[in-house]
Amino acid sequence: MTGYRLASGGRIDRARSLAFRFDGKPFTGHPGDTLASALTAAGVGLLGRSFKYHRPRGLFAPGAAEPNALVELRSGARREPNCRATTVELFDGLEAHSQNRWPSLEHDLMAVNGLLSPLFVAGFYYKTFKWPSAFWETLYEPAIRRAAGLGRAATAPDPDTYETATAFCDVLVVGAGPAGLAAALAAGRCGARVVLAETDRDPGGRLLDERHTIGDDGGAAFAAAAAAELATMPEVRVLTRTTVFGAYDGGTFGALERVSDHLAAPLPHQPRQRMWTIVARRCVVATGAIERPVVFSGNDTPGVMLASLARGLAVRRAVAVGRRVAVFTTGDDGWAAAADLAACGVTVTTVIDARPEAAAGAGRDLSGARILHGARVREAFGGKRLDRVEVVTGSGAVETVSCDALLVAGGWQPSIQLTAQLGGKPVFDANLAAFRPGPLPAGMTVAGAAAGSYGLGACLREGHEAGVEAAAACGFAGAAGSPPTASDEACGATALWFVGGGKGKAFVDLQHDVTADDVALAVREGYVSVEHLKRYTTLGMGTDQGRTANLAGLGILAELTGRGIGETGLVLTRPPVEPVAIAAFAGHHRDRAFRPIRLPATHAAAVELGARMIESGAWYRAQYFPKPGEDWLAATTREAAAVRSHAGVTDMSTLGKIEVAGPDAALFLSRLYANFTGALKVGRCAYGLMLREDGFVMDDGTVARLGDTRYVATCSTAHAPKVWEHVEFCRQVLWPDLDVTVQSVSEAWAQLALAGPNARAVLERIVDPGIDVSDAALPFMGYRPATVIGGVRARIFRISFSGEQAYEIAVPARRGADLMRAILARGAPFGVVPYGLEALNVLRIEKGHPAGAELNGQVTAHDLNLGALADKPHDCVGRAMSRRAALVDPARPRLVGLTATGGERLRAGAHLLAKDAPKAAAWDEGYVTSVCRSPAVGGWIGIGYLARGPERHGEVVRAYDPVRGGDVLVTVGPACFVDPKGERARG
Amino acid sequence: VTVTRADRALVQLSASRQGLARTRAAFRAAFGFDLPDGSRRSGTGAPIALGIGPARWMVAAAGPDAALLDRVADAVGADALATDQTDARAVFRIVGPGRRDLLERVVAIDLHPRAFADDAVAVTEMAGMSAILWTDGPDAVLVAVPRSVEEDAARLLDAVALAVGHAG
Repeated sequence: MTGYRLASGGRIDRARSLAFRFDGKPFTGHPGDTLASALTAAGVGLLGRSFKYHRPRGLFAPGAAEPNALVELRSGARREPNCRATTVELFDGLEAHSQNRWPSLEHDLMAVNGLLSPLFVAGFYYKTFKWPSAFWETLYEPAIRRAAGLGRAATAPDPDTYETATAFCDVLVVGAGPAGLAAALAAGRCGARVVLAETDRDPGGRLLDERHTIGDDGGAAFAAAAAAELATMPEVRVLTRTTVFGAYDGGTFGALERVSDHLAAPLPHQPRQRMWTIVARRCVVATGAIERPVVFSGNDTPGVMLASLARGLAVRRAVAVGRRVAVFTTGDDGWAAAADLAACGVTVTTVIDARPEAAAGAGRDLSGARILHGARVREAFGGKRLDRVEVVTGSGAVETVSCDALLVAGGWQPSIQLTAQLGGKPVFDANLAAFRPGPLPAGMTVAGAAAGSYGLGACLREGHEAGVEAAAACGFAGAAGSPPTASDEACGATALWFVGGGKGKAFVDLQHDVTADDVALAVREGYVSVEHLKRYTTLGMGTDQGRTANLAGLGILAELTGRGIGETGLVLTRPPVEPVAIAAFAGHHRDRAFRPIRLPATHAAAVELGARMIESGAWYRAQYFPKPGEDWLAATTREAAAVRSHAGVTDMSTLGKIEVAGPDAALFLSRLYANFTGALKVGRCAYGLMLREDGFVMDDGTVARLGDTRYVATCSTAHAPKVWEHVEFCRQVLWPDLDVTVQSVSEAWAQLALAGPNARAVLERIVDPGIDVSDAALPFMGYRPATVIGGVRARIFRISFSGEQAYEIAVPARRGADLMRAILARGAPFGVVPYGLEALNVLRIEKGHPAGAELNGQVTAHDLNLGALADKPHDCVGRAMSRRAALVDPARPRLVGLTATGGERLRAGAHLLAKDAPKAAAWDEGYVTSVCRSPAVGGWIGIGYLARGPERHGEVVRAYDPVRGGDVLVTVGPACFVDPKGERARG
Repeated sequence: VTVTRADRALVQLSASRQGLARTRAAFRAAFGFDLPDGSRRSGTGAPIALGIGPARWMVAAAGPDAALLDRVADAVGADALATDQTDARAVFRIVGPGRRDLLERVVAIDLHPRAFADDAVAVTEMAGMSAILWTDGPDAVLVAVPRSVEEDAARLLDAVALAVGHAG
């Protein structure tokens, strides 16, 4: 292939030049070029090496169907592999590299693989790497991984941003070729909201790649006029550079907009790509068709390509693919392509028509070209550049035709992937020798070449009618005008999948190096199902998804098995129809924005205090407040000890808070909580244990009675969303007859725990004058409303998670940080310190209070030693099931305290075994749920579940942690290590 | 398009099935307009009421209003529950002709005037955050998200606003 730039024509801006590099060599092109067209214009024909045999490859197919010319684009963090040169818009400074070759594209030593091709047949891996099995992980897999893949992904983080967006419309038109444009115009004129999505930069499709007349205009002029009219319609949105890649349920489509892929780098604040979710009431699929190849020996030689590619290069990009061009066609379109090339000034030397008569050739201006009827190309030669083909003529003679480009026109296959993704199986049309769309998803129609109507006039008519119909179905019956008119050119073709008789390899799937012989081998070995053939040979599994391979492979399979193509069937299709970067799916959700992080109400104060933060579920919480030189353990130990000796303050705002109000509020709560009977005085708090329907514990918390018919309940941070959902379900579904209403106030209130023997003294300096918080006025488990720090309304609950004298003070959330600062400032004389999540955990473990690790969905009230507390006579969710014999079995693992006998570190997750039992799962008797280094005890302690735990206090058992190498003897005891009588909390 | 913080006093009001009619009547008597049915907004001045769920509304002032909770609570009495949600939500005001371009990048709801009328309210999800949307005059939309994710919401809205304002 010796391509060159034509002297005139094309839709390129010859006044401007764009400099770019390919494999380090400088080139220039023009705006309007693709990388492929600019390289071809520069005479570059070798663009890649094949996947397996490293054979030289050039351009083969237009657009996304291109299997060969895959390049690495850009460099550094923006390096992107497997970009199709046919879809890469040229930009100034573009840098591209060929891939899958070493040391260079011209001289690829890996081409030695071609000599080993008798070994590398279909199923090579399956047959070769079966044994010895020990070699798989150590030798085979690493070696295969090194050899696999086509390009190199960037190793640095992607510097660009990506967006997701959602569009709603009445009519989605996929594809802006003649049918799509006609559909969008018609629907838009009717007044429907239309989204027209086009993969290319410009609307027009084949109207830009071929020479046509519509009405009195050229095809490209019609496309420009249509685009201009669409731009004036306020309810029409045209998304160019946008590929609709998936059809999903309910009229939902996925589409990728390449916002700035055509630039060297995105503009400031501009995303690289945008992922669209398009919700459409109706959809018109006008995705056109892909030209079919014919398989013959040497069909991968650079210079052999689909006629549609060469036609588009000549008409749209003003690039000739060669100086001696031959056309091998099975239908009328090859003649049309030859005529377009000739009209552009390309020399077409020979037309080889497989049909005995080529009626469509008559009238085409191909003077000077040699015409061979009933002839077939059986082999192409030339190595890195095509120089001749061998033709079997109608008489059976073999001729050599000299050419530097061979354009293959094997007919068309409608692009119907979107129509089949929801399960509608395509139907084979013997007249077209192609698959048409099968049963369509609700609301979808197909128009134009995608429906098998290849004539331009038919495309325009069908598109118009589909647009009118879709708009009408959405209630828009405006004036759509008349459909644009054009003649229907002849477009018949005969089916020809394979020409045998050549000596060289004949490739079915050029990207995956699957040959006709591989298909035959698969058939011989019994892989006669099309799905099996695909997996055994990898046919159609490349990044081009077999666009130019599938039908040819299917045709050969059908011939070999003696079945019809319709009977052989087509492989299933699923989204995406083109590769989509994971970054586009992620959109904004990366790095810090991977998911929303909830900040507690005192976050600002914690940052001021130098807290180390930690993600805890959905929250970002203060883990500890280190002083200079302290690590986490030292800081945590100091904080916990300070709470026990003086006072500390921590943020409990992350707890769920639910207000319950109404005449039946008490009854409602009693049905929610196993231990709560509803008998609670105003101004008092109670512990609440909530069961699931199956009798296991859902969560625990507190209930405070704020007024006669008003309560506030708290639930654990970890379970807050689930508990809220449960409460609403119970209210709305289980007991709608109860006169009660509920609201989540979790976000409304900051809630700070002030704990320690000096807590009351500090509190007295926080509440406003005249508010009595003495033990008499606010006893243990009491509640009172108040104002604090100068008129801020507050709720004060005297409840304790630490086991110390403690108060939880709730204020409006935006005052939480102020309250924290005030407590620390006014409480300084009393030694108050801030304490974080780690110390909070230490304090509650020392008291044996269960939290998320203990309330793990697998435990019962009985397991928590709360069986008697929870087993009240009233009805509640989970009551009946909680009494099942298996759930109150004394042998069940139950909550115990564990003290490391030698002071070694304990780890949560360790399994509990009898001291002398074998270290094996069969002797597993429980597990450790939470551990800490306890300043109160002076060593490592933990709580966990141990079979018959309460009966085993004093026994030494083994905490065995094979994952992290832990093996610690622990003494079993009560789960409460500090103040078992609870005197401190009541003090 | 511009994104700014909007201080709005918010009171959530909910009623039991039994107290619903009395709550509606009491609210109308106190404020002069009906609580809306469904996800709609009622009231034209201040406050307004937004339907955010079955028998559940958000009463919103035009700005800070420390007395709003008491006004609503006093109006409905014991027939309904009124809680101050001013601190529970961060409200963003999105103004300008590009507001729909911005919002289509962060919420999956149809904001075309045919689908999202002037009095429409949406309770939806915005990049993993719960969000309440309602219109505020002819060229603005208000978005209320949980206070705890205010920082993330601001970061997202600001970034998308820049993208919309620049290259789109």
